[in-house]
Amino acid sequence: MSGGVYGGDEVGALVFDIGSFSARAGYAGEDCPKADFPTSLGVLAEEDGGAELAGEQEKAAGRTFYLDTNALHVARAGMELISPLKNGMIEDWEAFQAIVDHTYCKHIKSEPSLHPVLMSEAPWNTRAKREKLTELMFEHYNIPAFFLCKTAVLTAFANGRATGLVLDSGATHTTAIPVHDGYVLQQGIVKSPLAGDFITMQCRELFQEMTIDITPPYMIAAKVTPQAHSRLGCLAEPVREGMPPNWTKKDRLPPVTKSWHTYMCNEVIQDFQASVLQVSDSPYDEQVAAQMPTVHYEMPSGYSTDYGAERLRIPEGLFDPSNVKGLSGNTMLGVGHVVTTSIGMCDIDIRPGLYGSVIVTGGNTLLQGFTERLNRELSQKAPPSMRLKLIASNSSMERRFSPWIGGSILASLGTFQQMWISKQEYEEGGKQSVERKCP
Amino acid sequence: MLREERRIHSDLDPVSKMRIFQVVLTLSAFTLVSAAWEGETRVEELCRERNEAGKDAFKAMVIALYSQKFANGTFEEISATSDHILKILEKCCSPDANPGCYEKETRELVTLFCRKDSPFPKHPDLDKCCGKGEHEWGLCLASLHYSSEELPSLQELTNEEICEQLKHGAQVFSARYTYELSRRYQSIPADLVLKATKNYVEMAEKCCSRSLSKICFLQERLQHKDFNIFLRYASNVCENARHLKTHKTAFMVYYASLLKLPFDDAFTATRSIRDNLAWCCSQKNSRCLTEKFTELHQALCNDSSPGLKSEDFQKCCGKAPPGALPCMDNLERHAQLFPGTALSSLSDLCDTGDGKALQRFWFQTGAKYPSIPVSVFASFMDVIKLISEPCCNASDAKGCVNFNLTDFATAASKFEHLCSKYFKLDWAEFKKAVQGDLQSEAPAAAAAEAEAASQNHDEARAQVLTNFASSCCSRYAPARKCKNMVEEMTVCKKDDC
Repeated sequence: MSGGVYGGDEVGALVFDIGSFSARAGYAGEDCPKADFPTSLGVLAEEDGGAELAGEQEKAAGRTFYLDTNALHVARAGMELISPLKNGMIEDWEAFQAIVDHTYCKHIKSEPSLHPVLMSEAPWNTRAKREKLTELMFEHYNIPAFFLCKTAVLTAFANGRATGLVLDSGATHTTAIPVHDGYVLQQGIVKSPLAGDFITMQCRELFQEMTIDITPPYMIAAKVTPQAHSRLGCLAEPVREGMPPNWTKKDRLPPVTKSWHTYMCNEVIQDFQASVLQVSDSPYDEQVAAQMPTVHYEMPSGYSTDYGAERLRIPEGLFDPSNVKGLSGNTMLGVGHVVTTSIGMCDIDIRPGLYGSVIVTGGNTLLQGFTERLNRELSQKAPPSMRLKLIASNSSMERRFSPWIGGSILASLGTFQQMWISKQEYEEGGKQSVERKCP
Repeated sequence: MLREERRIHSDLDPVSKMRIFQVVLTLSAFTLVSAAWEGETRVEELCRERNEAGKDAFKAMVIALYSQKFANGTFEEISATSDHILKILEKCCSPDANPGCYEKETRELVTLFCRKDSPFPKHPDLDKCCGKGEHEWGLCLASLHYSSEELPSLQELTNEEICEQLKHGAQVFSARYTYELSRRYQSIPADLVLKATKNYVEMAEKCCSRSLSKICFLQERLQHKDFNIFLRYASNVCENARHLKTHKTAFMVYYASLLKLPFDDAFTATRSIRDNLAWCCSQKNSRCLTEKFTELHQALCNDSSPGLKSEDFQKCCGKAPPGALPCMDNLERHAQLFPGTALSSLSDLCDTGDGKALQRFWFQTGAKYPSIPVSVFASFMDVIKLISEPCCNASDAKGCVNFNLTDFATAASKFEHLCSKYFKLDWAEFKKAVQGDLQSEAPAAAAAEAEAASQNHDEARAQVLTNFASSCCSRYAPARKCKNMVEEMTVCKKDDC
């Protein structure tokens, strides 16, 4: 190290991308993250928690956290489900720390003081939170160097670009973020709550209408499937399509909380979303939808049926919110409008560059037909002189992990090594260094 | 001179005249005509430039200059022109060339330009030039310039497309990018465009030579991003300098509101950028423009210079000159109020002295409105000047127009109000707020029919205002487009007042 600049990449830098839905972490320069687990945590107040700490538990003053896929799925009496993030920004610092601790301990299996850390952040993150995070990483984890970079910028980088309109449709929001020459144009950020969670809510309503119970696997001891006899034995009759499910509930289930149960139900719905739903390639038409081939889907309880028009009807709200029940009179923007509005808020001279590079990312964009419909909508909405180009990786992993991949590329570039905030710089300039070094 | 030609010349601002001069002296086809009139020295100069630069670099410069000049031309038309010019030079620069070679060849070129089936770029005013006598063609053609307010889009290629196009050969690839970039950046010295092209071609050659690598593209893009940011900054400054008469005062207001400078300090600190800026922009070599920026950087960042330098401002000062000025563009500007500053009457607008009193007035007005970008404020001043000039020349200046200074202040504050709202609110809220403002301004409801008419009028007006904000409130608001929009919104037209 010299002159306060972190000059070495002798020990692998780590990249953290902690989103609303899942947390990703791993070594810079690698193709995919070592860790990928839900951001949500189970939490027990001290008096409820076990005396001994098991592998996937983290303890903070008065609270025990249960995190990562396995621990989170164990039914525990009184365990609430929480998220450390709110609106993409860190809200519960203890819970956030539990995620970082867990990542170092169980996935990276190394000392924090050995690795520089590049972390992603929401494009609208506040100065106070950025500084607090910088302080936490240097003071508590004693890392040798740190860098914060906006998720949208990292997504553009993951696609080898420094300019583009990043359309990120994740769990909580669909957001359009203009990135120009490696910087986020703050005035052009447009957000809409029509995203994955919204679709989950719509599915939940559909199941209510169809009187289909959402029974998460944790409740089920055994079931009879439509196709074959289950562990209930050969004596049991198979359940026919559309008939009530035949399953037995687990004995001695602890009294779980509503928040945890809802999370487990949402996982069931999310699987349904990914398997059944499809975005219509043109504005929804009842008659066209009726001709759609049906898709057969079996719930964890063994209940199974075919889904037709609803396959298209539910995701339609993403693109055309005007007919969504419960949203009447809303001013929410559909996905196409989010993009055009965002570009319209940017300087006129860079609009062609943004239309020419619309980068599609986020788990919700993996819905079948999403990019095709977006392409169609934008072709109609964009000014005719603009050349439109959608950049959407075919790999679902790249689409889900793009900010992490961008961070992995950035932190491994030779030219990046002078951009780190070194420990020495932090000690001399304090937590404010983050404002100076990480735009 | 014919009356028509005189009109073309008198309509030209000093920058256009300079451009004509430059074009005449350097590389355009019409240059060659002119060179032929003025004897062999100009031609020798061209041949020398060609020899010094080398054939390829010279060709690239011709393409850049022509694409800037005829930004509406197709790549094929620009290529045809540059090929033809190079052919002429090839022929006429050879030691055994005929003494009358240039004159003959360029006359043929101009004749070709005037043909209906010409392979060269077209211009709506081409016929006017072609109708003139042979000796007037050169100047007339040189005075033509692409005039659309919309800048042509820059074709953004994906990494895969870049590599695909590169397969057709680096030379064609490079020429096409020069063309695209030059028509996008019409007002900056052409060598800046050529430098950006060089970076781009190097990136393509490097990153396409191995298996397509996103990492390589990113690394190259990050390496050149500061230069690209500078290019955009320079283009904005030069577009303003070229198209807006009062850009100097607007620059002064701009930097004063960044540093909270009073008039006299701002006047001194921005002296370098105000003098001859337009001329520097019109050169094909960027040396002069770079010197201007370096001087401005020094004047603003010098420890002994006055002004309130925030931590962020100092951070920008710490960057090298190409990065420092664009960095300052991202900083917040502050409104400043100066007591007792107003022109007492319209006749003050007709300032006959050194112009400083008037500049002071504009300065103090502009300083109150930090959300108005340079190009919009300069456009606004241009429009007011346009209105007041006939009055200043009239015998009774005070009574000749009914536009008064209070109207001016009100109009400026409306632009400020609109742009500050545009940045504070999101788009949907902004549109609603604009509609709300218009409704609250409207007189009390009248008959239903009148109300409906008024509603339609409000909707149309709201559309105008939101379009204006979306195009012209941002810091790099395009000069020509915004000037037209400001004029539309400021000058009373028929019954739309």
